[in-house]
Amino acid sequence: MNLIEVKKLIYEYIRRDKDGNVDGITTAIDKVDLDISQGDFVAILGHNGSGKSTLAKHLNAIYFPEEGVVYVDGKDTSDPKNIWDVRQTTGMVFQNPDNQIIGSIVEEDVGFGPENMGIAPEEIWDRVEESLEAVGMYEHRERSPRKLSGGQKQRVAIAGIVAMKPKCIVLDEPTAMLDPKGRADVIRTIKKLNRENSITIILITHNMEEVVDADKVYVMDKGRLVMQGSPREIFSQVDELKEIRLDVPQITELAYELNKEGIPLPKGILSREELVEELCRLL
Amino acid sequence: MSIIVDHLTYIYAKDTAYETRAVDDVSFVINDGEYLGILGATGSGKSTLIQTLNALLIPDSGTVYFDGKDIFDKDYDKKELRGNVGLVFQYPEHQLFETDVFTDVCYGPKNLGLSQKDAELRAYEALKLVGFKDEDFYQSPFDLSGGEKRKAAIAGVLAMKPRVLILDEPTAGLDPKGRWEILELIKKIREETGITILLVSHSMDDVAENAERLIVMYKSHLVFDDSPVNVFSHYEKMKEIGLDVPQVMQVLLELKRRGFPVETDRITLNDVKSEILRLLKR
Repeated sequence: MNLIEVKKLIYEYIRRDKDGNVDGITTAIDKVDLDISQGDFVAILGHNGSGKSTLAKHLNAIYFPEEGVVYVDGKDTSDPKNIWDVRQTTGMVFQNPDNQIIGSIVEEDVGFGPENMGIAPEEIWDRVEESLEAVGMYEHRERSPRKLSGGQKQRVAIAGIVAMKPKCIVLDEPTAMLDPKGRADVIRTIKKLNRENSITIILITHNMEEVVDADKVYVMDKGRLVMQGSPREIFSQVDELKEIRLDVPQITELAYELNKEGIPLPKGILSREELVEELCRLL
Repeated sequence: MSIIVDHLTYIYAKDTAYETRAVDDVSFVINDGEYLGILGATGSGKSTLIQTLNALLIPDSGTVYFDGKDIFDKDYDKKELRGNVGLVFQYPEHQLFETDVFTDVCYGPKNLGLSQKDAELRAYEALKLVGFKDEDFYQSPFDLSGGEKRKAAIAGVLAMKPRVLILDEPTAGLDPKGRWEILELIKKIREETGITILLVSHSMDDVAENAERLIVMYKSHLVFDDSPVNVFSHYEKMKEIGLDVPQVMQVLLELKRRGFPVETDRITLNDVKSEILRLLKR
C-alpha cells in the first residue's frame, strides 16, 4: 500500500454569474493517477493554473474529489470520518509564511498544532523542541516570529507541521517569496526532514534548481499529468518542457545550448559539478 | 535629469527599545533612462529605500533630489512626485479593486487630478503598452490569470506616466513563462517610453540578464554600486551576504579553479556559452 494513492481524480471549478447561472467550467484536474510511497521526495512542476495546487489540496482533505478517489495512508479522503486522520498524516506548508504564523513567540506557534490535537503538555514541549531542532530554529525559540526573516519564518511554519508528526508534508511553493539564502535554508531543511526523519515530501515549485535532488518529478499541464520520471529524465526533454511553458535549470539549459553547437555533452545535466566534469573530459 | 540619494538614513521605531536602522547613510545616483537592479537579502533595507524615493517614507536624515530639487522640502509637491516616480509593490495584483480592468487603471490618473476623458486616454495607452487586448478591458480583474493581473496592476502605475518605474520583485510567485513575459514587458516599456527602471529582485539570473548597473544592500548599508559583471566578480562576498552569483558564471569560476585559462567575467547564459566554446576550440 502506498502512502498516497490518487485514482482517476477529476476536479472542476464552476464559475457562476451574479444570478447563479453556470457561466463556465474549468477542469482543474483531469483524470490524474498518482502513487507516492512512504519516504519519497517528490516534486510537482507545472505553470500557474496547471492544477498543482488543486491537487495538493486534495492530499489533506481541503478539497474532495468530484470523481475518482484519493487514499491517504489507506484512508479515503472523501469519507468525513477520515478527515482528521488524513490531515494529521499530511501537513501542508503554503507560500506566504506570514499567513501561517499565529503565535507571538516561536515555540508557542510551533506548539499550536499538537495542542489542538490534545497532546499532553509535557509531550508538546518535547515535540516543539525536537521540531525546532530539526529545522535549525531552536536558538530562536523565544523570539517573536515577526522579527524573523522570511526563510526563518517559513522554517518555523515547517516546524509547526513537524510537531504534529505527519508522515508526509506537502509544500506549495514554499520558497517563492524568499531570498537566495532563505531559499537554500528551506530546501536544505526539507531534504534533511526527508532523509533523517523519513518524512515523505511533496514539493510544488517553479524553481527548477530545487527539484534536481528529488526521487521523482511529476509535470502537470492543463490539469493532466504529462510527464513523470527522475529529474534527469525530465530535464533531458528541454523542448517538450518549453512547449508547456516550463523551464529547465540554468545549468541544464547551458549544456543544452552547448550541445546544439556540437559539443558532445550527455542529455539532462543537472548540476554545476556535473557540467564541469563533462567539460573537463573534453578539454 | 536624475535622482540623487544623499546620505539617506531611515530608522524604524526611533527612540524605543525596538529602534532599527533600516537604511544607514546610503548615497547613490540614478541616471535618466537607466536600468538599475537592486539586490539584497530580506531585511537588508531595499523596500524601505525604494519607499523613500517617492516620499512614502520620510527619512530621519539625508535626502533625495529629483530633478535637482529636494523632495522632502515642505513645499515640494508630493502628489506630482508620486506621478513621476511610479512604485509597483510586491504582489501588486492584491491592490486591484475595481469591477473591471479599465476602471481600475483609470484610478491613478484620476487621483492625479486629470479629467475623466484624459484619465481614460491614459488608461487606454497604458493597457495597450502592457499588451492588453481591447476585448479584455472590461473583464473583472479577478478573473484574470496571475501574470495578467500583474500586468493590469503595472498598467495602473504606467497610466500616471511616471518617468521612473520602480518594481519590487515583479516576478515573485510567477511561473517561468510568466516571469519571462514580465521581464520582456519591462524591457519593452523602457524601449518605447525611455523610462528609468529600478528592478528590486532576488533572482541573480534576472538582474544579470537585464540590469545595466546594480546596487547591493546588506544590513542597511549600500555595499556595491557597480556594473553587474563587477558586482558578481565579488562572488565570495555575495555569498557571505546571503546572495549569490548566476549559476552559469559559477561554471566558469569552477573551470578557472581547476586551472583552465577561462575569463570569469561573463554573467549571461549567452556570454558563458561563447566563452566555453572559445575554450573548447582553443
